[in-house]
Amino acid sequence: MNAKPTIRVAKLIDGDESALADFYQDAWGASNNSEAVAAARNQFTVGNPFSDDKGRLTVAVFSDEKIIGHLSTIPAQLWDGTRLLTGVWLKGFMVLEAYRDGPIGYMLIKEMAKHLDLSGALVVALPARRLMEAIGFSDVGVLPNYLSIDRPRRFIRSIDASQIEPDSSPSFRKLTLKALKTEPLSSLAGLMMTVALSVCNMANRWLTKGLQTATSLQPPAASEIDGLWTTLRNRIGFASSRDSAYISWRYAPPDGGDYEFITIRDAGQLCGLAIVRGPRREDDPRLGGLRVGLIADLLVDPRHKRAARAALLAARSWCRLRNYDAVLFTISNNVLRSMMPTLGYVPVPGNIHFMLRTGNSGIASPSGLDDSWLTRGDGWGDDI
Amino acid sequence: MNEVIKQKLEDIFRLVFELPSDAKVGDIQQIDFDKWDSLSHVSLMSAIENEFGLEVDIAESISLTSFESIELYLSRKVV
Repeated sequence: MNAKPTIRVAKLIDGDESALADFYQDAWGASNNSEAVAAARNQFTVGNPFSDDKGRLTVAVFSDEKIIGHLSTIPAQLWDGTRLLTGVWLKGFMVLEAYRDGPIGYMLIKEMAKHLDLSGALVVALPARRLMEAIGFSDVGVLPNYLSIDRPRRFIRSIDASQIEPDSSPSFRKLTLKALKTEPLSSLAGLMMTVALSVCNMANRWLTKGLQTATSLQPPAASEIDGLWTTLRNRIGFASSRDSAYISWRYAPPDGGDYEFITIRDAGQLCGLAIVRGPRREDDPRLGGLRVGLIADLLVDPRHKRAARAALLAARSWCRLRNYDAVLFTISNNVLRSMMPTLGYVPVPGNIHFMLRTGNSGIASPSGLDDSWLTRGDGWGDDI
Repeated sequence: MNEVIKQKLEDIFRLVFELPSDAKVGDIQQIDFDKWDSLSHVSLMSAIENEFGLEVDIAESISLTSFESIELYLSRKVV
């Protein structure tokens, strides 16, 4: 008879690399060589302007010497409307399949809670959200998604609605999408959407006349980003810090990244910054071969609507030049959201929940997302 | 005695999973029951510990993944 394994939960220490390497391979199919593991561990701390000398907080559940569950953090700085506060994003919440729906997830979150203060997370799965609520996280809301479709006919024919739409969505919408996949409806719908988008583009180009747009692999000057971030944060109630140090570390790492920077200037002064990238994977079964670009982040004064329009139009142009079928933008702020239809971005169902635990920070948990500024780049939500 | 255990266990299942008082729970398995996630598993184990006055070892609780397996477990543990 096999001896019962010893199940324990603990903070990871430097000697756990071998077990962690095996876990990375089991959980994510990642390479398990020591350099890859060290790189993965350091990814969110080395160069992170919000890291302290305590290193990256990670907890794991061990079955004897094997890691079967993992939860880690990314040091961050959060803005509550009046001040900047130290916090973390939770990241990498994973239990090996054979151990799911048992005690392991709970053990991880309960252990992590002992070390957490102000913390956020972008979470899809209901079991994970339930666990987080059990230790004091609030579900602040679902991040709204917007899609601008550049190739409507191809998009309609390729998208698998049953994989994208949540189960609770009205079946009328799914039936409509299904009907539109057939000819001549798909061609007709595609033509109508193309015409509508062209009219939209013309109107918005007129509205943003006079603003200068440029694209670069490097972010603009630090002082410019800091100025824009200061302006933005004074208009909103909650956000993750987007100062120049963070933007450079997050989106323009020294070894090269996937992102590009679209600047919008008004008489030479930076008034908008969109950070874009192409699709991380092109084999997502939900997308049926479609290539969807992403606006990972955006800095703009929400009162400067021309700048916001120009940034979102430029992002779409950037995607079109690369022959992407559509561009996705996730944004919580209600001022920007109200503009999306006039920019040719349609709302699509979201499934990423913003969870927040205020701990001893003294801040009040926001009652909703309207006054916040959260994008898919926050908490590495563009990995979801 | 086993009938008493079974009845108590059925009540616990209905309570933890918020099921009607006449819901059949004997066939419930973690693998195909959406309401059985990590949090409800912990609630289930906690309720069992409280009801039967025992402590469920974590390593053992990993294998308690159905009504049937828990009933068998309790028939061995509860005197």
